[in-house]
Amino acid sequence: MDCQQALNEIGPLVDGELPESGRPALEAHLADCGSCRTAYEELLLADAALARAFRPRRRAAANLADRTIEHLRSEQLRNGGAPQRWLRAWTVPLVAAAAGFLLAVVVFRAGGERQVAQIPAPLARLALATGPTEVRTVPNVAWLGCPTDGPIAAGSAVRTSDAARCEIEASDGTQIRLDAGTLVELPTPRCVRLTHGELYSAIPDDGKQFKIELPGAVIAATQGKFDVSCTPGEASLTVVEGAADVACKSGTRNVAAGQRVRLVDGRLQETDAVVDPLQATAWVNELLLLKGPENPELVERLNDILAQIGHAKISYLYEDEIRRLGSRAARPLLRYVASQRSQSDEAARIAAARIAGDLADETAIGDLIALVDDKDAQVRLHARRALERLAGRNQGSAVDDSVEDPRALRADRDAWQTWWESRSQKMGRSSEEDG
Amino acid sequence: MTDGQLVRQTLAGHSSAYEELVRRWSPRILAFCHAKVRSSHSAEDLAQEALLRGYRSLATLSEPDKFGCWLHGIALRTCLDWLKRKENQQTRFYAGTAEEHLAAHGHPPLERLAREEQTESLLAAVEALPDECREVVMLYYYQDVTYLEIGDMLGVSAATVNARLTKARKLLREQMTHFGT
Repeated sequence: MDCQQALNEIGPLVDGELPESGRPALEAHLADCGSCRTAYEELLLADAALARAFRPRRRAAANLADRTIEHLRSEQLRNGGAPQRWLRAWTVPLVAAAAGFLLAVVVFRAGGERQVAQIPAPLARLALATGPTEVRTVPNVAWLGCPTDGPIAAGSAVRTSDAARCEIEASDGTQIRLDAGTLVELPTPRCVRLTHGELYSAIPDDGKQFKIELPGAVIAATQGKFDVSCTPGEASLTVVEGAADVACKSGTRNVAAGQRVRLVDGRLQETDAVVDPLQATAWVNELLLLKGPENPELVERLNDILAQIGHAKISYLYEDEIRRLGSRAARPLLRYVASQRSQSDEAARIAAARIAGDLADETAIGDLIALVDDKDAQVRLHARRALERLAGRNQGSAVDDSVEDPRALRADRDAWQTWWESRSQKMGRSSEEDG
Repeated sequence: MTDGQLVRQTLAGHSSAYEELVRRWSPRILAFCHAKVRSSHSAEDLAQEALLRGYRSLATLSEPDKFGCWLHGIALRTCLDWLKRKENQQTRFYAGTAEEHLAAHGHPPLERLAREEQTESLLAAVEALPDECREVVMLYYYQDVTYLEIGDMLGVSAATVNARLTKARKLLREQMTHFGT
């Protein structure tokens, strides 16, 4: 090997691009040739310096990707979450297919050449998710993370991880909620195929049939709310509202609201009465919490659950159901306590205050302060104890559980309010300084 | 998953597939833009613009498997448009060789170099390299890529990439020695 050849190969050697077979000859030359060895060592130094100099640029590239993705997502939200809309706006005339849900995209290119691509229109969107939810358009391709509001095309499969629940909203208003560890396919807006896991579906009353396909069985309904679970060899349908027909190899059966039927190896078993649909579908509560403390369905469910506490024989189960939701349940409960509708059920109101007081975190402080001068002593007690827990102190007032004087209670509330405003300002300043 | 598969998934309505393409191609597109406009700050804006333009006009991509080449074409046009606008604004970018550039403008003042971080000095030296050398250095150091991948992007052989990279490092070494780096 001569020096020219060696100098041509020291770059690939440094960069790991030199074939193994070429290394011995080059290394032998470098051992013998001082000038080439010096060139090699200088190149190593230059490479190390460049790698160091480009470290911030590599970080900039990663940040650029994050920023661009963020931009795309916000742009999709503004455009209704469907990239196809951009296609319409930017590039091509779209011709709707005569039937079904496919759109034919006709792209005219320079020279008159024409390309037709079939692009499925989204039939649904991912409305909510408590954790990673993945989608794939066609079988045998990799699963991709689906962001909230992300479109779901006809024929797609959707799956939730073991720690995630999600809500899918179809274009016709049908809601399909998936429990953790569930896999479904969505061939059309009026059909969902449950492979395994559990789903809850709310079907709008528009007279059109909706189908839930299971291995070896089909459930059909025109409106109502249903919970369906599926494991290998076994499935069950719980009808919360409305009615549904189940068809399988052992026959067909109509299942009414408040009933549950199991299927074992594709055969219908006895129909049972469901003791409580709230308990049977408690897993959807976590999704409802994402819709905010004022969400009507969440409020209705909490009202129903609270009505059972203290009245039902198994009221501890209902209380546990709320407590399992953690601190996120505190604000809906406190809103319930503050609402007019809770005034007619004193026991439920106090139960809500007690549970909320235990669960509350800092996000509920404003709602708790509003209850410091409540007319009910027990509600006041639970609110003040929660505030003292969160603040780590009381406000030094002389108010105790026996005080009923509205002026003293009002002063206590004002003291908490002043403390909270002062703390919020400090936190705001601190946050600005950190930023 | 290949670029082509991700393109097809994006066109089927899964915008998250394009997010994977963005992560995959951001370093190379940023390196390419940086090499073209010689300004890291402007390059970030231009690279983002190219990536967004790519998404918006994805339906016009006739061969999804050639997404990378196609996106580079978009990045190139984005950079050229920007350079043209800058030129109209009387801001000129030097297009000669590093040697000519240094001969014309002299070396950066030592005082300034003393104030700046070593890395900034080296990046400035990279930005002053001749076009061909600058491109391969940027593409090579922005991301872990092979000579072959750089060659595919630039339409040259792996041997040419090696030759350009070797020349670039030689020029930079000389400058580093001159600056006392």
